[in-house]
Amino acid sequence: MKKLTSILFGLMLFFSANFSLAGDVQLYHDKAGWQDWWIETFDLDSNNSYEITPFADTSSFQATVRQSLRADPPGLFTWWAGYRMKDMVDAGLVEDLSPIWDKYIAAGEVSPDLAKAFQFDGKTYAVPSLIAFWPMYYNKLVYAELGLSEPKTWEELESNFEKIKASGRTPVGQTIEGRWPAFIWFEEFLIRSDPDFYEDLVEGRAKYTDPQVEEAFLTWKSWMDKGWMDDGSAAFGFTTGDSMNNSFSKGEVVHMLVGTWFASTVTGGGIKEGDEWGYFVLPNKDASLPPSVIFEAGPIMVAKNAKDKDAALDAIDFWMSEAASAKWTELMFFPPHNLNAGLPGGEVGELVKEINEGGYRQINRYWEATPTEICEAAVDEISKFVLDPTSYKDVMANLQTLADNYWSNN
Amino acid sequence: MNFNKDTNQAYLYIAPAVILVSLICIYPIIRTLIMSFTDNDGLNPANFIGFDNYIKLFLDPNYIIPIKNTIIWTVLATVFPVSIGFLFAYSIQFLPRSNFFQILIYIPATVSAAAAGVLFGFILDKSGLFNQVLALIGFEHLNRDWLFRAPENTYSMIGAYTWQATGINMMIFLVGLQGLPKEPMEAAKIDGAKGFTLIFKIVIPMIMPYFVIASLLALINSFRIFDSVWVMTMGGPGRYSETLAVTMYREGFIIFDLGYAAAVAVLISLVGLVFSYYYLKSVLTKEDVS
Repeated sequence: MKKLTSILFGLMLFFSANFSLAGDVQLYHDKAGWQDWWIETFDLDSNNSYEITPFADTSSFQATVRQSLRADPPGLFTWWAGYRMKDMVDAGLVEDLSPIWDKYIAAGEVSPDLAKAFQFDGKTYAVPSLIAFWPMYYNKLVYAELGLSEPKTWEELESNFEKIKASGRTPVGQTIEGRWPAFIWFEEFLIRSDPDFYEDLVEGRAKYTDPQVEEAFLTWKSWMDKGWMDDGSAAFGFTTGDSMNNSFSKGEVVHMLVGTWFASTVTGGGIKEGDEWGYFVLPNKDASLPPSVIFEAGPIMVAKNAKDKDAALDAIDFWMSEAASAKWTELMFFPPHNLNAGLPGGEVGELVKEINEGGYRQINRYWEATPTEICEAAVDEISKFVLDPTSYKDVMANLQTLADNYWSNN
Repeated sequence: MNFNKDTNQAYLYIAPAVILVSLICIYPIIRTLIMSFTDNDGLNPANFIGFDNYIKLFLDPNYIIPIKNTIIWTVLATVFPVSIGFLFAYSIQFLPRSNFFQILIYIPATVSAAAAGVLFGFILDKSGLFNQVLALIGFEHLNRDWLFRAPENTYSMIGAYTWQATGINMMIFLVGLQGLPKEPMEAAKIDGAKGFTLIFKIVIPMIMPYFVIASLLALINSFRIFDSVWVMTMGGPGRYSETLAVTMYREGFIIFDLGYAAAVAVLISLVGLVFSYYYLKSVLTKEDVS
């Protein structure tokens, strides 16, 4: 009996140590793989203790958080920016974090531009857990073998693709596995020709039937027709089998357009960061445009009805500090939200430096920039285009119907 | 109504089950039904919107594909597992060591639908086992990514489902076949019946109640198919393999239009209820006859 009690007690300790920390502030998140890093970073906060709960499944995470916001919500929870958080803001269920932002902006520690991803009517409702850019990953080994260099113009980019195709490889990997990745190339083709139009489109000021959208689809179609892109059927990120990432690491696929958060998965595929793979931001198709890059921010929010709201606000203050930001950047290799924290090392650091120094226009990702009701249906429509690139006119019409339905009611 | 000691005792015995079923089944059903007449989004107070969700469901052209796929699933995922299950059951009874084959065919039924979905995801992949076998037997020209192209993905998933669902049907038919009286079979054989004539004219009519039970059970399961589809294709690509149950999940847990998702759930439940009524009727009638 004594032995059994010891085993049970040991198991309790094991589970409590691995899956949650008893504490004042609750944090719910759906990034189960980040659990140890959350713990390590919040361990630096001497004012609060934390109960950090990971959710393995995104859908159940979202359902739990949404259902809890009026009843007994956690103090802190991660979410998605832009329109994905707007309904919570509209419902008055999340706390205005502007005072904390104002404090750090006044001290010159954070950029006011960063707050824009979480702003509605001039108030800022979140702080960033994730900052990512969407550059092109390229296989340096193939580039060296074929004598290619990073393209500075659209023509150089397409010229590289021609040489890569001639060598029997696929220049660009794309995937529509899991639905959502369908928007990646759609937004990229749009911003390379007309970023203002893209921002008008996602806000309902332009139409999916406009010539700019047709041009984007036609460029995409021409790349597929030339065999520069694969058919989108590969899985996204596994490091085995026919996945896009595995084909990239083997040099069968030479480019991938993915967020910088994908770096560790790429390296996990067996090729070295820096020596064997690197980044470049796609040049603009319209050479007169200033450089731009797709930007993604993942928010942490404070629930207004949380019992631990005051402690949660204190935790947000800590999160914005140099110490927390530096630790998070050291662990995650994300660009820091606190300017004093210093850049991450490796390719990400180089990329962030280039974006900051080059005055790149940072454009919000389609997933967050357009209303969720449009986006969720649009990725299925865009997938239909990938399956049959000749269907682009039907797809454009269907996308506009989705947009009309939403904007006429909102 | 007369209450005596025996009746009270009987009510007492069934009370826990009644309470549990009411809490776990009846209450959510009523809540879902009420929710289907609202614009509940899980965040804001829900407003009553009458039949708007049902009208949207029947008028939205996007739901033609899920309805069509659900019908395909309901027909094929009933016909194949039931007929193959019967063929296995009929053949196995003549084999020595039939227990071994029964276990072998039943094992897939013990695997969870999610695990089977992951397994078939690999098998039906472009470089998966299925394409390798096709190439090996000279049908390489048929190779394709079976889960990526429509309508192949729906048919492939029904094939995977059949692998799982055949075992349970075989067991139902084995019970039926073992209970058959020998005299009519022997009489038919003396009259010259054999092979398919014996199966179609004698055996099947005699175990028809088991066919009805197996078919209705398969209809109920296939009409509300979700897990296999969600794990293998998430209803995609481009919603081409979506079924009504996937539509319900998508509307409820991705778009968070919970009122609309509830309307889809009510529709699925109503159809399932009709099948269940006939299923229970045939089971109970059979028990009465026994």
